[in-house]
Amino acid sequence: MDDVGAAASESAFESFYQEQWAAMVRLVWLMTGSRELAEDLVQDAFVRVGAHWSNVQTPVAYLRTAVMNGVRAQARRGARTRALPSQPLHPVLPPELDETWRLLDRLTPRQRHALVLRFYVDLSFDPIAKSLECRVGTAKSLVHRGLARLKKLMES
Amino acid sequence: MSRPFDSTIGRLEQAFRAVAAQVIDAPPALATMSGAPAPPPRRRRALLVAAATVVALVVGAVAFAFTRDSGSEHVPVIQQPSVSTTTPTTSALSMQHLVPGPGGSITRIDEGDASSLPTQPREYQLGYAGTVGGRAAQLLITADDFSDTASPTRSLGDQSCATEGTPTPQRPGSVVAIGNHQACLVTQIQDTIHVGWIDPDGVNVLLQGSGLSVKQMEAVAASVERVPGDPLALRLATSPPPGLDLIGDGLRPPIEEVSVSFDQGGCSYFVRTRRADPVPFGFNPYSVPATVRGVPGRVIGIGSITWTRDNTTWTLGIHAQDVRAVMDHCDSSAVAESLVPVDDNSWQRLLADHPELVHRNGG
Repeated sequence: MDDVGAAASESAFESFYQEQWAAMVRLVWLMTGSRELAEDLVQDAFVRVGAHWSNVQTPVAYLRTAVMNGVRAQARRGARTRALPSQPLHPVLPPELDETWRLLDRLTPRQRHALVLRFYVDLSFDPIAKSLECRVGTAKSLVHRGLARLKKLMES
Repeated sequence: MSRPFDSTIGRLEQAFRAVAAQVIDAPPALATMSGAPAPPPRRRRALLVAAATVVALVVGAVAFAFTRDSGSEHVPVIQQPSVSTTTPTTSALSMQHLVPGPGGSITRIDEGDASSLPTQPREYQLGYAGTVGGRAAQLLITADDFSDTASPTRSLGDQSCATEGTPTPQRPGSVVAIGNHQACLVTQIQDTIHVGWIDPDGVNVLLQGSGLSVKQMEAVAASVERVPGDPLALRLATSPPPGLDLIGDGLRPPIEEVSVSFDQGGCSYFVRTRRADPVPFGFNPYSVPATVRGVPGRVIGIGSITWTRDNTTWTLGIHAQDVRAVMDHCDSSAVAESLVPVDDNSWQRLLADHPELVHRNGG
């Protein structure tokens, strides 16, 4: 790639980064419950995309996949974020929403991911299943069980 | 006709939008992309408010391929007392309560008690801090008995790390043999290293260290042992790295807290009271040490401060849709200094005299 091409590519990547960063952090924060972790996972994903930028045909899809891989890997690595001391990270939430947010920690990571994809991202079950690398029936079950558990916790 | 989960979904969607709406920051400088990814210091973020707002609008317009919400919806702020049918309850907390001083007006009192939750995990903490090799260092070791057996995270140490590739001890995410544990060097974020495993009794053990090398973390992990006869307690069989001192150990208290919302000087604040963790402030490399009311505290995020004294932790924050927008005239540090302690009798009288202010969270 010549200098002009390299500069254009770098500029395109910077624009892509500016456009996608906040939306990605929002998504991962909801999935993991930790803003700091979300920022780190999103940064990691951008580094991966950047490394293959010149060959990436569909950058948003590539980024989304990299982010989801990071989220799943983080969940597999353990209930680590849940073991962290809880901290008042969201002081501006009204109490009932703050309670809902904290109760999400009581779900399994996959239930939480499924609920975020269904009710925040507004995905149908097919893409949820693809994102979670499971069957559609499993995705439906994760959403249903997650809601049932959340409802029970809210009522207890 | 309403469906069984309608109200749950409604609250869930509101909570998602409320949390997502807090991300209006500009991304960190792209220059950090070439090296180790690092989020920008929060102080720097505060200087980027104007740019961040523009970015948020752009992001909202462009919209991520499968993102419905642009994050522009704000959280309704509770500033007025609402009518409650709840009978005022006697707080189970026997802690020092703080209320606003002259000029402050209480608008709401929330009492929460999650001790009845069936899945509330117990957590043991063992914390060290000091200076190692000229650098500030922290080490927090936790053990919890999270009873969620359905979680795939229960397989930590058996499968999850093994999928990460070649088991090289120095490689974050890899399987490492530490003492008798088949542990996972979970991740390394900036200078924070996480090491964890699940022991044969199903106890999750996690080490978080900053200012320490991988080798030092491995050495600490190898010396972690359970205290005989105790379901969760841990200890180190050998001394920690020189320079680290024990700063606390014990079981985390049940989640019980009281939050007092109040108006003062044209701003809306809350002060949250809860039992202190055995390791003060846990492990949070993203908070900034500060002195509050003459005792050690931390600045957390934007506009919130926390401090601990006599086994009680208080957190004072600002109720606002965008805290940064009110920072120039709402000073949580000054308000924290102006809070007035009340004894238990006065506190109970306050609850009894103003039942309309009291809300019981129950979870």
